[in-house]
Amino acid sequence: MAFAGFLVRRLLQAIPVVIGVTIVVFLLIHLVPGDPARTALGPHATPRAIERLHHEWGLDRPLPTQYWLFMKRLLTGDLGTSLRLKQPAGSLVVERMPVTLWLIGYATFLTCLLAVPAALLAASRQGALRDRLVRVLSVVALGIPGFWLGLMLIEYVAVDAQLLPSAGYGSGFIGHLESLFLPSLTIALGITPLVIRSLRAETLKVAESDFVTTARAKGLSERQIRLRHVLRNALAPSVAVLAVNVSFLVGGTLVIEQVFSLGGVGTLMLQGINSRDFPVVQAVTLILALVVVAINIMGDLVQALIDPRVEAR
Amino acid sequence: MSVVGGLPNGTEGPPTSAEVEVEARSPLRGMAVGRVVGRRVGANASLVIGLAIIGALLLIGALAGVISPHDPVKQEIGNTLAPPGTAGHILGTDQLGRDTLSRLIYGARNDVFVALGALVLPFVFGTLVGIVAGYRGGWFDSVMVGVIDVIIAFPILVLLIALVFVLGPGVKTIIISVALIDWVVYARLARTAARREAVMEYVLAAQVGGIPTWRILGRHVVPNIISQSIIYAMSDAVLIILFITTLGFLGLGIPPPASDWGTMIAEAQPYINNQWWLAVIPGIAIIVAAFGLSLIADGLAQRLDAR
Amino acid sequence: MAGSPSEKRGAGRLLAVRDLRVGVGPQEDGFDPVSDASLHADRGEVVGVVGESGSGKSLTLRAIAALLPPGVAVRSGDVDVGDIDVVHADRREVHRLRGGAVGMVFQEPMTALNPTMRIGPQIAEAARAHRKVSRVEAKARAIELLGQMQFTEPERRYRLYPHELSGGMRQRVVIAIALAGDPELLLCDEPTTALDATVTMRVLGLITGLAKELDIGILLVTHDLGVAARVCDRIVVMYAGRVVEEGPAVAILRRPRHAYTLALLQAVPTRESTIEALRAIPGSPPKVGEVPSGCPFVPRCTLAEPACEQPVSLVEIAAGRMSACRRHELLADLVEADDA
Repeated sequence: MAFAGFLVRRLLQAIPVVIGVTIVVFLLIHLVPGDPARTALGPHATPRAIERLHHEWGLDRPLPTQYWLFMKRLLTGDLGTSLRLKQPAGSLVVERMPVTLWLIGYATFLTCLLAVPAALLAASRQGALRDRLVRVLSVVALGIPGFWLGLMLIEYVAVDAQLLPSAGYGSGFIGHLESLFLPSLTIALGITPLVIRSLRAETLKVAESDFVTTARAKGLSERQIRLRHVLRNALAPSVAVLAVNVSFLVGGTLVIEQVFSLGGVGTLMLQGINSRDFPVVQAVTLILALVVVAINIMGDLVQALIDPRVEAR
Repeated sequence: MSVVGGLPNGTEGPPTSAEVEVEARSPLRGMAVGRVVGRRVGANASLVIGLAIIGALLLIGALAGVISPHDPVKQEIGNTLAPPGTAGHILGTDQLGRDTLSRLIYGARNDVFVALGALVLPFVFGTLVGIVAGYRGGWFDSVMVGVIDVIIAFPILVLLIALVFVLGPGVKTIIISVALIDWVVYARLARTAARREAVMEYVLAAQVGGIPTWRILGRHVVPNIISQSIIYAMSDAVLIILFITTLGFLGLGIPPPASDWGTMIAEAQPYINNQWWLAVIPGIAIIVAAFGLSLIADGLAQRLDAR
Repeated sequence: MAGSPSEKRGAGRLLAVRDLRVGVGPQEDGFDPVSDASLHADRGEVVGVVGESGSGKSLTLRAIAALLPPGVAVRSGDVDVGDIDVVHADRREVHRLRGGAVGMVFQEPMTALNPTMRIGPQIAEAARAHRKVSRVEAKARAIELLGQMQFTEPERRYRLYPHELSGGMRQRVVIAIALAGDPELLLCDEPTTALDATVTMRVLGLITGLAKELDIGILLVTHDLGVAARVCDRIVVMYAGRVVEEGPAVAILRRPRHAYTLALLQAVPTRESTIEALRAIPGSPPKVGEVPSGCPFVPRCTLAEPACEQPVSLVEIAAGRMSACRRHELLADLVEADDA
């Protein structure tokens, strides 16, 4: 089937990107000015301890050999050992993954919920009051820093009004939905303006296309034209934009987890940074990059489902 | 409303020569008329207000030493957490008794200046790489596309924080980290545009006519690409301001005692219940700066006819 | 109101356009790409509307289908399709007009179809827009239309997407869509411009066959005199937003009675014409908004006299022949001399 072929092709295309990602993550440690082992262990480390870490990280070997060893370990699922927690970094990340994935999924959902109606409303009459309102609001929203918005929501919605929990992950599906609403909303608001902008522009562009004139010439009502012809064609490129923005969104979770004390992957990374725990920072960076790659592939698949021409590319 | 067709959204005014020309070329693209007219009404307002906001912030930042009422790092132990409106401290003081207004003013210097400064390297480098890759193609293009794909695969903020971590905090680090990541966007923009231009007839004609490559690029290709990149740069500046203040919030930004809006918000966190203004004021400063940049981007986009 | 509208206005004509003026922008200081167009069409007849690009022919066509782009509107004049007064039509009548009374075939088959929808449903949807039919019936109708459009295996083609078809096939789908509502009038806007020569012949054959077979009227807008010569019964020549000449196709092409038509014909390469005889029309059409008050062709005309600077209107010069050229008698002599 064409779709299966497309999926396989798309997965194969991702391989060089994933290899590139591992190279960047591998090189991260070599960007540290001076000796990374000394930096990691702090000023009071004994020369022997530094020597041992050098050996463990393979810093005493030539660069290509180091990468080769790094990849060999990666393929067996070994992402290094946390210096502070003395546990495999990979399993530390995996343990904290559910919250982060929840946030990503929930925020994506809320983004669509906010962006699609807003964009369609704006595009329904270009230049009208509602259009200008949506545009001004999204320009303002784009400039709101997520961490600040999170703090405000905690203070005024969670603490003052007691409407929703201010921190934690909650338990059970409903509990997650409730506890993660504010953080997900905060993250969603960060990318919603970008999605609105592109969906609005796409809708307007599609509304000008020749096939819409064809539809009008058929005698369809404006409503039928909008739902059957315009929306679907505007959606495919917007899904692409959404997928790009999810890359932003993944970064946003990192800060928002901190604000809402959620203890996900982002919190792990920030803790790793504070304790100069290189393997943990590397592991989080690598895994979140893989999440983004996976999201992009999913975006392409959704696009292919919407627009048959994507598959043919 | 007239009977058939109908005039869109009340945009009136005599048609310009540009519109007439659009019409003359393709009589059915009436849409274009509405858009051109709409643009003329809205565009300059966005641009003017945006430039005014950013101009004012830059001026405030540049004159910080002159106009700030207090030394932003001077602590008044006896006068901590003063509310806005306190005599001598219009916006109050923080937990260490430092004047909020002065810190805000110095914050404008750090955040807005650094954000705009951080744009320069990626803009120049990315655009150059993109033009060369798109115009020449070949192995260089393939390698660059690969590198761009890899960097784009990372969640930007995560990679940025990782870079700041390994390089150690500071203004230099921020500029280097942003440059290392952000150039890919400009490279992609420029590459696409350069590829489009490279096959244009006028470029081919110039090539056949023996006009040197650098001249074709400088005369025709670059001017056609640059406007789009400049528009993007203004939106990009919004994101960079958010990056810098986020880093400050996480304690990875411009190191203290220099003031930064993100750091101010982070420090205000424990007092948000009773001294809410400590967190609200710098937040609004960030929003205003970002809004100004967005308005410039919007106004430029409308003006330069790029959707 | 006394009498049915059709008796009063349409005079039994399938299509009647009278003194049509179409404007862009606001009334006071906009400009009028179509300033004076009158034409008509009857059942079973193919009428060609010929002119250079910018002559206002496409806008005239769009005005007939109430499909003017936003910002463009009818300023004055009348358009009657059957019993529908298009210029003053309300929403219900516009619905009855589009796809119902009038089908439309567009210039660009590559963009005229929705790329994310299979072609069959795009046809069926048009059928359902005007008749209370079930989905199954609409589908059957679409398959039938595909068959009429000379598609082999129409059931299988029904499920294809536009990007899986060639340009000529897409144009046939567009024609099927236009016919799905059983229109009395088919408007074709440069239907073959985007197609190559062999496909052009096939599509034109299909269109003219339809006029006779279904007994519908066809209005064919084209800049290509060769196309018009091949398929039209009657030809309307437009220049700078006005109808300048009208008459039976053979008469117009053999004995033009407007200086512009003559110039157009001399610019068309034919088998007989030698390179010396072939000549481009000097100059270019007047810019929109700069049309002179007299005959718009004067600046480029080799036959113009001072009187041509005065306003001139379309008048009947012989049975079934109209011309807006003061020098039409001179032209008659010239062409006759040439024939001899």
